[in-house]
Amino acid sequence: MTEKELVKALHRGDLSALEVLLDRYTSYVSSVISRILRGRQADVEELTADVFLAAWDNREKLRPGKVKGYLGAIARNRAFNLLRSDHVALPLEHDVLFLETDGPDRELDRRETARIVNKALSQLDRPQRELFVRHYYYGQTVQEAALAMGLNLSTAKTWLRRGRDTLRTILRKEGYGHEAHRDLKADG
Amino acid sequence: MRRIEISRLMDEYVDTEFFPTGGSAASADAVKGWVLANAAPVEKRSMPAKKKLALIAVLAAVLVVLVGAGVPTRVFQILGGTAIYQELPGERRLTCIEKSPVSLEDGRLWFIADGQRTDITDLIDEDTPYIYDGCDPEIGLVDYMIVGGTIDDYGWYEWTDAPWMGFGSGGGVNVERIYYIVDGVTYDAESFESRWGSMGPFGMDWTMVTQDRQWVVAAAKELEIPFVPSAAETDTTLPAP
Repeated sequence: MTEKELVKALHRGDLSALEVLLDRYTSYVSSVISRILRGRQADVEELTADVFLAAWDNREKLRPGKVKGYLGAIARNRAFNLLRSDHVALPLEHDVLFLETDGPDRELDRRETARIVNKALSQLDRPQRELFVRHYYYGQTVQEAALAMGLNLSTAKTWLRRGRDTLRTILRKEGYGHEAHRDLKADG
Repeated sequence: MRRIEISRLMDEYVDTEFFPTGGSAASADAVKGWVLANAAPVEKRSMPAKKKLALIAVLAAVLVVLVGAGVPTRVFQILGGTAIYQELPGERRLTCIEKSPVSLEDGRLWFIADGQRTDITDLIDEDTPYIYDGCDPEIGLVDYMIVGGTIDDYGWYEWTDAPWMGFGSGGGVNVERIYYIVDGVTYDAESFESRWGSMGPFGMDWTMVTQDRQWVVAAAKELEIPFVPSAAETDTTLPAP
């Protein structure tokens, strides 16, 4: 079954298509969650199932060619949200950017956020973008991401800093703040 | 000073480029069973996930009628797990998510259904089945679980039927013997694979043959239900290797 056929069958509400979806992507989805939750194996199956149930409930949003990314995004966000709700510190390098503002903060809605993030990432070359995504999106530690990509730690940290600087610059240019003094050490 | 968490910005990102792999995976069967049994309209699942599992457990023999996205769907419990019946355009479909109803513990074989455990070790052999009747006249469900064999080589078969489905469905595990005939010599599956692997001998004439196990044949005859062998050419006259 092609992904186009799969999505069409899912849109029809065909449960056997949901079974195909599970067969294809359970491994990927659970590995995304497992990596973020780190050792909370008991939660992995439950969250993995929740991802597919969410996808089923919102199946009209599925589009051919974007299924894996969509499932991965739900998985990533649910896993992150679980850690946030449990007040577990994320193992992320300088996760907080500080931007100076004159008046009230300009609203940064979801669509605008997605646009800015995509713009920033598109300005990084592919290996730097991959490192940034592995770390801030998939929650890999700098060491894990560097190891997976064959980088030494200092190079990885430099690349991540470049990514943060790019993001900060775009936010500033788009009117979400002024020049930041420094990369404050306020890790999440 | 505005404070922006990068990881929260990334909540709105969708990776379509890298998809790194790794990390331990969940049990695919457990996830599949859970999801398919719960793939119902959102309002049916407003409770937390852990409670959902508890609900499924008490649904035994209770028919739930659900309608999702215009596809008439019935989810009901059968002895071996959960069955999902769908009426799709031009097609009726039954999907069953089953797990073994039998547990081997300390050399004894236990049949587990309807919250009860029965030691069936001495009740079955290669010719004699153990039959459990899980029929539910209230919803017109015909449901038989059949177990046979030995503690070293047991199998099970479940037959499900209902008038509102318009067809019956059977399935199980280890309900037939598989043999291979290579140049006139018969080998059991294990011998065959250890000699030639799953691809079989290259350049030699060979055939796979299945033989229904007697306990399931006997049970099907007694219950007057069809036995649906899974594959290949069937030959009940084949001599043992």
